[in-house]
Amino acid sequence: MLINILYVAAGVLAGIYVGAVPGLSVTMAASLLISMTYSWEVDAALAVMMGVWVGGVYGGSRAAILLNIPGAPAAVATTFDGYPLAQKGEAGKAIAVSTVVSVFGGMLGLLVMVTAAPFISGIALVFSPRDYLLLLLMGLMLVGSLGGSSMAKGVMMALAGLMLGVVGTDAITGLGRFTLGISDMRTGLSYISVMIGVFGIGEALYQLLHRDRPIIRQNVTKITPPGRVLLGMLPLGIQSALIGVVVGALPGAGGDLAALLAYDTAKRTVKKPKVPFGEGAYEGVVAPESANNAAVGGALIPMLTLGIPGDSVTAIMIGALQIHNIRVGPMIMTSQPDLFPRLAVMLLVANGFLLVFGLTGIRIFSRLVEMPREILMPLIMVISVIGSYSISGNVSDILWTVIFGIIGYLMKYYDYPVGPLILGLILGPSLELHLRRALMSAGSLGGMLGEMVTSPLSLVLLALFALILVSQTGMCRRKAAAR
Amino acid sequence: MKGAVRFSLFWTILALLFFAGSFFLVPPGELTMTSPAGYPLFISALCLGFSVLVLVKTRREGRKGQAAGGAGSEPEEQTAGGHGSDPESQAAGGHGREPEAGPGKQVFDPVVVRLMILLVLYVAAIPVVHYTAATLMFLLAALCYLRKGRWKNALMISYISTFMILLVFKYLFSVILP
Repeated sequence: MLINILYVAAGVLAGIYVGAVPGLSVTMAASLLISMTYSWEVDAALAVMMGVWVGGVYGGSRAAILLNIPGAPAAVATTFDGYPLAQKGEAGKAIAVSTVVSVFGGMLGLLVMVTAAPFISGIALVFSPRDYLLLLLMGLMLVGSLGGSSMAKGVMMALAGLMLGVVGTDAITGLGRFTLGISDMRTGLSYISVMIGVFGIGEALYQLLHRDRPIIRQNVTKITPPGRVLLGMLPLGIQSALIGVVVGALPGAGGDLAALLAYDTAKRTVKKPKVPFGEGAYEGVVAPESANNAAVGGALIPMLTLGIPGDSVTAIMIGALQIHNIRVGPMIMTSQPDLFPRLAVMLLVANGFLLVFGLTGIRIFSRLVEMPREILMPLIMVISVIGSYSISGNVSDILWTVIFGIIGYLMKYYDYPVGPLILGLILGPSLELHLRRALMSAGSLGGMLGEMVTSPLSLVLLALFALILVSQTGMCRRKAAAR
Repeated sequence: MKGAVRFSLFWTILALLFFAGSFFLVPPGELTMTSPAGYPLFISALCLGFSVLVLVKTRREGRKGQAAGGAGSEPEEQTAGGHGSDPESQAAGGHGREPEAGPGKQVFDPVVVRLMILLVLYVAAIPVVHYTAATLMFLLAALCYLRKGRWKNALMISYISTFMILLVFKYLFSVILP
C-alpha cells in the first residue's frame, strides 16, 4: 500500500512537468507507462498513471501562466487571465491559486464521482448526437468572450478554425478533403500543432518584437493567497468543478471543453470582478483550472460504471486493466467491487500530492520569465518544434507549427484574437460529426429540430444555448456602447 | 494600415478557396448537409461573409486613421496602444497587451524577419542533418545574433539546452527524433 502511495507521488511530480511542456501530453505519458508497467501489479500501474494524469492536467497551467503557451489544450483558457497576471508580476500568486483550485476541483470531482456516479452515467447514456451538438455549440459561444474588441474578428477566427478543422479525411465517408493530394494531410491539421505554433512560436516572435521592453520582475513573496480570498472564490470553484465533472463524464468531451465552458460561464456569472476578465482576473484562472481537474473524476465515471472511456487517458487505463486480466464493462462494479474505492483513494492521494508539489518550485518557475528574452524565445521555439513533432512523429506537423507560428505573430500584431481560432479547431471535427449524425438520424433539419424540442434533455440544452446566444447579443451591444 | 488590409485579404482569399473547393468535393447532385461537402460549404460561406466584413471595416479604419494622422504617415509606425486598429484592444483571447513604451514597431521588424528565416532554415535542415545538429546550429545562430556576438555564452547555452531536450524527449519519452 505504501509503495503505491509513492508511485502516485512520483506520477504527480512527473505529470506536472509533462503537462508543462507543450507537445508532451498526459496521453503520451500514460501510453508509455502501459509498456513500462506491464509486469507490475495492477494497483501500482494504476497508481502511477493516476498520478501522471492528475499532475499533467494541472501542469499545463504553468506554461500557460508564465509564457502564454498552454502546456495542454485544457490550459488554453488559463492563458486568457493567467498570462496577464504574469505580465503584472503576479505569476507566483497565479500559479499558487491555480494549484489550490486544481486540488479543490479534483477533490470535488472525486466526491461527485463517489456519490453520483450511477446518476451521471445515466445522463451520459442518454446523450444523443443532437445533445452533443448543442453542447459543442454552447462551447462555440465562448467566441463572444474571446473575441476581444472586435466581435466580427472573433467570429471570423472561430469560423476559420472550424473551416481548417475540415482538412483531412472525412470521419463518416473516408473522403479526403482539402488534402492537396499530400498523404500527410490526410490526418488533418493537428490542433495541438496549430496551438503550439500560434501560442508558442507566434508569442516568441511577438516578444522578440518587443525585446526592448523591461523584463517584469515577478513577486514571489507571499504567493499563497489569503484564506478569505480563497473562500471568496469558493462558489466559482464549486460551479466550475461541477461543470468539469458533468462534461468530463461525457465520452469524448473531456477537460478541454470543460475548461472552456467553465471560463465562459464564469464570465457570465461573475458580475463585477475586481479586474475585468482577460486582463488578469483571478476568477479567469479559478474557473478553467477547477473544471479541468474535476473532469478527471468525471471521466472515470463512464469507465467505472459502463466500461466506456471518458477520454483518451481512461481509454489507456482500460487497456492497462485488460493487460492485467480485468475485464471492463457494465458489470465491473459487481465483478470488481473494490476497484472503484481503490481508484478513488488513488485520486484522493494524487490531489493531496498535487497540493504539495504544486506549491513548491513556484519561485524557481516564476524566475523563468525573468530570463532575457534573447535566450528564452529561441528556446521556446526549439521546444515548440520538438513538442509539435512528438505528437505523432510527423515532420509535417513541424511545418504547420512554423506556418501557424508566423500567422499567430501576424494575428497578434494586427489584433486578431487567437483563442477563437483554436476553439474552432478543437470543437470543429466533433461539431461536424455530431451535426451530420443528428441530421442522418432525424432524416432532415426539420426533423432534428423537432427532436430537440420533444426530448427533455435536448430541450434543456437548447434553452441553455438560446440563453447564451441572447446574452452574446447583449454583450455585443454593451461592447459597442463602451466603444 | 496597408498591412492590416492585406492580412484581412489573406483570410478572405482563404475562405474563398475553401468555399470554391467545397463544390468539387462531391458531385453536384450529392451536395447535401449530410454529405462531406455540406458542412465545409456552409462554414466557409459564413467565414467568407465575416472576412469580407472585417476587410471592409479594416479599410474604413485605415482611411479614418490616415485622415486623422495626416498624409504620408504609416499608422503602423506611430505610437499606439496596439498595432492594429484599436488602441484599447485587450483581446480576451489572452493577451492583455501593454501600451508601447516607445515608437511603434514595424510588423516586419528586421530582427523578427531574420528569426523567421532562421526558423524556416532550421525546419528545412532537420530532415537533412537530423534534429540534434539542426537544433544546435539554430540555437547557436539565434543566440549569437540576438546577443550580439557573445558566442561563448551562446555555445554553452546551446549545448546544455540541446542535451536537456535530448534527455527528456529521446531517452525519457522514447520519442524517435527526426
